[in-house]
Parts: sequence; structure tokens; C-alpha cells
Amino acid sequence: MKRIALTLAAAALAVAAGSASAHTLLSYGATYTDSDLCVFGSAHIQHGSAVIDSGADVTSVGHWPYLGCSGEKAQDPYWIALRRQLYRWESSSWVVCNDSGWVYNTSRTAQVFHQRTFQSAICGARYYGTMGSGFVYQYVGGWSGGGAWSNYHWLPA
Amino acid sequence: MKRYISVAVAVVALVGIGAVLAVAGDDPPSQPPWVKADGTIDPAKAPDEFEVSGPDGQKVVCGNGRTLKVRKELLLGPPPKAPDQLRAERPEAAAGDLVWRCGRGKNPHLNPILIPRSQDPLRTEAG
Repeated sequence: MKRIALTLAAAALAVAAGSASAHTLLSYGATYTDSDLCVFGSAHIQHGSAVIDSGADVTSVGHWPYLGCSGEKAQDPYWIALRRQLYRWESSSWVVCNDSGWVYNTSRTAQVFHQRTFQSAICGARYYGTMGSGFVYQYVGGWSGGGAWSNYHWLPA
Repeated sequence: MKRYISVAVAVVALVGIGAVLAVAGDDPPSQPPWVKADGTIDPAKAPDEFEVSGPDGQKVVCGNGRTLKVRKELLLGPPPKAPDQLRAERPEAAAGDLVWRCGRGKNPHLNPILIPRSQDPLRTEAG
């Protein structure tokens, strides 16, 4: 009996430790491509021992014959837009837990990044994932881009 | 005596796990159907609306008792304004949290507004 009890306790601790261990989930990919422009986006969620990190970025990249997507393509201020959202799973749907709103480049650059650190799971002990939506403006075509999803992770309260 | 202690430790551990699962209260999520294999998003497959949380972490419920819903276009983009408009307005960089709140009219739960948390009329010291 004692052995069984200790085994159960050890298993319980292992599950708890596994759910609380440091872990990073990241997605990165092309969200838009045409003959001149490629837009790459990424989203991540990281759970360390003390904090939770939710971040996203968008990069404007040139598109060249034979080379494909290659080299950063700088854009004027306000021509790159990014939004980072933290979602939580509840019942049977994903609910927005934290929203950065739209963030823009304020100087000429090819990349915008947004990251937020939380001291705890702000919407309770749930599964969480980060959505990053990134766009680059073009005279023909307007805002071009799309979103990336970090995948989801259990975060204790 | 040791046997009782061991059993008690096991029971406490299992109750703890049960409590965590009870807090979760849900089935584990599946990969959202609007996420493609490479991790990018297909907005056409996203739900038309998403529910949103307030600073307290709870779903926002409007004065009419309905849960606030935000159309996916307002969440996933693209941005509503062109660079020329933005340059003229010079929107502030996201220095702080934004919060979704219910709008006005007969259906405030379908008329969401996004405001800086510092301007939130429902803001409390704790929340």
C-alpha cells in the first residue's frame, strides 16, 4: 500500500511539474506573397518559471525573380502594422484575453515587434495561445499580410 | 501510521490535480480550424465573432445581460486606416493595455469599442 501511495504521489508531482515547466511555442511563416513583396509573421507564447511572455512580429521582405522572398524591405512610417492578442480556451471556444491593438512602425524599418510579459495567467488557469496579425501597406493592394498562431499551452494561475 | 500518512499524501495530490482540472473545467482544446498546417491563419475559417475578456479575466457582459462579441474583422485585421491617415493622426504606440467594452444602442453586445485601459470608466484600483 505504501509503495502504491508513494507512486501515486510521485506521478501527481510529475504531472504538476510537467505542466509548470518552462516551454516556448513559436510559429513563423509567410502570410502574404506577391511579385514584389513577402510578408512574414510570427507569434509565440513562452511560459517560464515566473512569467508568461506573449509576443508577435511582422517583417517586410522583398520578392525577387529566381530568388523568391529575400532581404528585408524597409517601409516608411505607418506602413507596417502589427497586433498581438492572447487567447484563452474556455468551454469550447477561444476567447480574447489580452489585446495590444494595432501597433505601427514610427520610423523607416522592415520589422515591427510587440511583446508583453505577464506575471501570472491573467485569465485564470487555462490553455493559452498568441495570435499575431501583421500587415504591410502597398499603394496597389492596400494592407497585405495575415496572421500567425503560436499554438497553445496550459498555463497555471 | 506511516501507511495513513502515505495514503493522505496521495489523496491530497490527486485532489490537487482534480482541482486544477476542475478550474480548467473544459475539454482540452483542439487546434483552431482557422490555423493552417504552417501556423498561419485562414481568416475565412475563423468564427464570425469572438468573445473577449475584461481586465478581470472574465468574459465581458453588457448591460443587457448578453456577452460582448467582437467581429473577427476587428480582431484579425487588416487595420482600418491607411498610412496617410495614421501619419496625420499619429496614433500613440501601444504603451499600455487596451480593453474591450460594450458600446451604445439597443445591442451594446454587438457594438464593441476598444479603449486604453487608462481611460476605462469601469477601471478599479484592483482591476
